Amino acid sequence: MEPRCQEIREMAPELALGIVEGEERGRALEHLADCPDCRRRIEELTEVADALLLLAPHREPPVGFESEVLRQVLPAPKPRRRRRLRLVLAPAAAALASVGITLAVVSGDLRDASHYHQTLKEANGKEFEAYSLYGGGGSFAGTVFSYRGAPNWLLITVDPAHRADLREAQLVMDDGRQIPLNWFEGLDPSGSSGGGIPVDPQHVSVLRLLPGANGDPLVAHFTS
Amino acid sequence: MCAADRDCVTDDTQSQRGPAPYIPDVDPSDEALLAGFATGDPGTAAAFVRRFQGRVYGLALTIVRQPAIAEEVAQETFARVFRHAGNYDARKGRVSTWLLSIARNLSIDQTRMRRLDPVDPEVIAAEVSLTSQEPAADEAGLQPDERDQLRSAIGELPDDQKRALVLAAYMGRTAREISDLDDVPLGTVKTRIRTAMLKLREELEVS
Repeated sequence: MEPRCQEIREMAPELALGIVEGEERGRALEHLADCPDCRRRIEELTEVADALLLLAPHREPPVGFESEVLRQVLPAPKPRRRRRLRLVLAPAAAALASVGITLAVVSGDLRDASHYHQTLKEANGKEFEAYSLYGGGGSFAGTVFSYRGAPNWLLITVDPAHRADLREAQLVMDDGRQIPLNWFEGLDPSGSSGGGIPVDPQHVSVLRLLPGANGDPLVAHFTS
Repeated sequence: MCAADRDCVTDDTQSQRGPAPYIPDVDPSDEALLAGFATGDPGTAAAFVRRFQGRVYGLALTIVRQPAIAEEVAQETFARVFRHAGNYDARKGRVSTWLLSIARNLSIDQTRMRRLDPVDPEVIAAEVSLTSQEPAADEAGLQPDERDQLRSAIGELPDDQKRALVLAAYMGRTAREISDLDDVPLGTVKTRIRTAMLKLREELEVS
């Protein structure tokens, strides 16, 4: 066994418990990135550390806890609207406000809407949407285009900085079901991937792109 | 990636069959609830909080010992989970352990920031060794026999190993801090922690 491996394995229980700090931890993580055997050892001990937390007594919090959490994290209730509505309604709203808007702008919007409807009609489609993909820390990572028609499909495009090591794609539905996209086997050289989906995009809540061992997942929320 | 077959619908046939049939899910997996929580769906979010609140609050109370602070910690734990749910990776651990790790770290931060009175590690060791009101096995993340084995293994550890383990696992003390606290050589503390962890790992492997 390499001397460095020996050193890491002696430190492994402390690493698993999360009590190694600073430079020492940084050096250990560097080694683990390149040493699958040591990594496996740490993972085994991390299971023990995790299990210890699961042994803490189960105690119900005070009454009102759940509603307080939901009040803190959930946005104030408002009707869910999809972009399609905005796109379709935008020309109408513009027309209503036409006193202050030039005819050229209104007619441009109406022409766009007309083209949109004509394009959908051509293939009997119902909706075409675009949603932003975000990486760790909320950084913009790409765009997901969804088409609602026969068939329903998605096209995913990812910015160069976020393309590394994406392995799986998964849809999470409004009812919580998870649907793996089996056609996703990483991105093509242009950073794209696409294919049919077995569900109505209108009922998709989230698209997740999952990386290999390293890297952050990318997430797109299918809401406006 | 799916935690249970019931959560998965494959896309083998793609659109030929049209939209996948909706299958009512009376007991969604932890991962499905987390995904729903992250989308802000009120019903799923409430179910997610209800499933884990007892574990999260229980762990926070075990560490900080004061109900009001434990409640704050538990609320902040769920708020962080909501903000960072997109970063959860099922391959790196269960939802329950991810949630509890966040609760543990926030609890330790609070004990340090507020300079809370140190808890006797013996008290924590006794609490985690006792059977409490347990959730169902799939919610706890440990099978009942694994829990019993682990509890009994902790109970059988020599006092010095048990103390070092509790200080590290629940109170986030580093080996150096334990060495200073107990006036014991650093190498001895490291050996105690290592020996205790390896014994517990053996017990989990056997069970």
